[in-house]
Amino acid sequence: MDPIAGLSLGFSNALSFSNLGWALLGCFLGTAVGVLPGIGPALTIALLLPITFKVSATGAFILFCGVFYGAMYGGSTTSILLNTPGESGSIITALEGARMARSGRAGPALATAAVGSFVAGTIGTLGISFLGPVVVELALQLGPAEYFSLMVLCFVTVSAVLGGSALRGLVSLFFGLLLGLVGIDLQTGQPRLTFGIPELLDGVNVVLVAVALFAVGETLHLAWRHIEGKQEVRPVGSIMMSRSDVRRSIGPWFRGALLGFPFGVMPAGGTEMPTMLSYYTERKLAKPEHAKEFGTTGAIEGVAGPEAANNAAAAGVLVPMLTLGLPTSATAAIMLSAFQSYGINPGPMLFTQQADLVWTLIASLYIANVLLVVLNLPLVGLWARILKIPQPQLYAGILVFATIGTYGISNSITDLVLLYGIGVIAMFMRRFDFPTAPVVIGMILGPMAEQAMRQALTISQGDWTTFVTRPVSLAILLLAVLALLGPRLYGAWARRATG
Amino acid sequence: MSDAAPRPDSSLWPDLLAGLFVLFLGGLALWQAMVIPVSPIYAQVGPKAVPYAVAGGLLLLGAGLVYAALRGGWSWELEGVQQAPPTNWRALTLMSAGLLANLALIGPLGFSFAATAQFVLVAAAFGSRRFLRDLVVALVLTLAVWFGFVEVLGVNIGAGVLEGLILRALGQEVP
Repeated sequence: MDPIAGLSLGFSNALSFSNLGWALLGCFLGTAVGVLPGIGPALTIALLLPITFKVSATGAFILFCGVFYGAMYGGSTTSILLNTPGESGSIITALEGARMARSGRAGPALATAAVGSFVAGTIGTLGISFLGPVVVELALQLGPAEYFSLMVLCFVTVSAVLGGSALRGLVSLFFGLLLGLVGIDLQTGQPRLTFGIPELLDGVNVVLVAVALFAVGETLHLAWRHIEGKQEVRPVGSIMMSRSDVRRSIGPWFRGALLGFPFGVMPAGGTEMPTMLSYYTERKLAKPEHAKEFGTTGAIEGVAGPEAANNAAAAGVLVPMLTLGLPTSATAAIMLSAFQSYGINPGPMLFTQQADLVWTLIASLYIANVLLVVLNLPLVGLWARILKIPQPQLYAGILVFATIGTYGISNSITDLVLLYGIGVIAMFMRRFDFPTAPVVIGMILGPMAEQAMRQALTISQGDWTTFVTRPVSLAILLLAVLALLGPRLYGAWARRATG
Repeated sequence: MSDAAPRPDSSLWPDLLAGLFVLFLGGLALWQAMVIPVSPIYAQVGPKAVPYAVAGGLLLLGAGLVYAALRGGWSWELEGVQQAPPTNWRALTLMSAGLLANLALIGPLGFSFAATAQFVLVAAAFGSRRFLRDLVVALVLTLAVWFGFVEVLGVNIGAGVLEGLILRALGQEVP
């Protein structure tokens, strides 16, 4: 289906009363969890997964995408008013945003972040609508061997390219792969890595792992280093942007969005790189009289650009998720597991077999963007009030949700023991700087990669060279090797050049 | 990083233990891969291949971490570790007590009571001193969450003592 026909079909579905309701609920929830430090979209969607048993796939995914987009909007509020970025993508926003708030300009900072998110979200969604079908066309040519290679590339980029160290990223990934292996092997029916515990035959639940990593581990780590004291929430003030604020923001909004989207689309995913690039670009491009505001009183360009880049990259992540079934962020991985719980196979067939669902989803992304600007600009005072929930009750409350989300899976104490065990591991992962997202991605994508590998080997009658004799597969694998070794070779070369 | 603070000698151990833990995980995976029964169903690649690969990967990566730790480690360079306040044993103990209380009570008493005990202990861990207020907040919140998850999301969580009382008071059947 071509994008225009798809979108008109999508909008006619998405504008129904119930679907609008799901979008509104998702945006509201998403903004709230984005604002609250300690919970993010991955955890929220994981806790909402039981809804897949009750609600149609379309409604559930509209809700999830609303949460996904909303959390991006909400994240900037926390960075600006509290100077504690909730997720990696808003670290850069906090740099200038918190400085603007300190010099009494929190309002314009929040406004430029919200409008920038809208511009970027809309450009990103346009990108999904028109790029998606093109990628699907290409993806339909791929066989299981190419798919396996693509997943290997995805593994390498999400774990080894981003973050502090390739070694630690890969450890996280393999921990996730290990968790994904637990349970009955789908092809032969043999139990694997169950330690003889019958509860493990069904595998380790993704909700449990997400809750352990993002709620239990995080809270334990905070308790470990807890110091008594209150955080200061800066007052919002007027959110009106002056004419010069608007003039200074327009360029960064568009540049940030155009920079962010491609980064999101690439299997590397990640929002750190585009936000950082956008920050340095805007700093370079700022007029001299504005440039001195960077790092002192806070420059509006340094909020507008990175915030747009963050949102566009987040929207871009949906392209490989919807077209290839490849998740490149923890949130996308959990959405992918929601597809599986509906029995829908994510991948290129999604656009043809579930055209209704996909285009309704894309249309509701446009709607969510509009809803979010409306929710965020006038209601920013409400969101700022959410920040005043005192820490003790906030973290205690998060754990109540963690408990019910896990216990609800099968009313099993074993699950809770597993939850706390993985939670303790996650606490130490924070301490030793192991990234957590590759765990979730490895856990969801690992079994899919194994299936693709075994299919490819069945086709080639057990010939392992099939992965390197098929040209496309070989090219993708070489790209993965390059992604793994390239930065190190470049580093060695740069050291030699300077030394 | 020559301008960073000099590395204290005692910081070698934590990183080494992290590496050894990954090696242990790899060993565990290897053992579990070996005991997978051989499949009677014919397949080009059996169920053991990938578990062996993952176990091998973990062992290799664990060895890499141990090597990195012996060469000086990595975590002493992290900002979060350098500026970390001392371990808050009181908070950790109270929080662990909260998690264990939940584990012990959720079976016999049901979700609301267990989660309330957990809430009060975790809030105390983070410095709350208003025990009674926390108790009331916790009871209201856990009940609201239970009814929300059971009635709205349709999650099947058995009614405990408190949930049963309320359902009976409302004249509904207790599942």
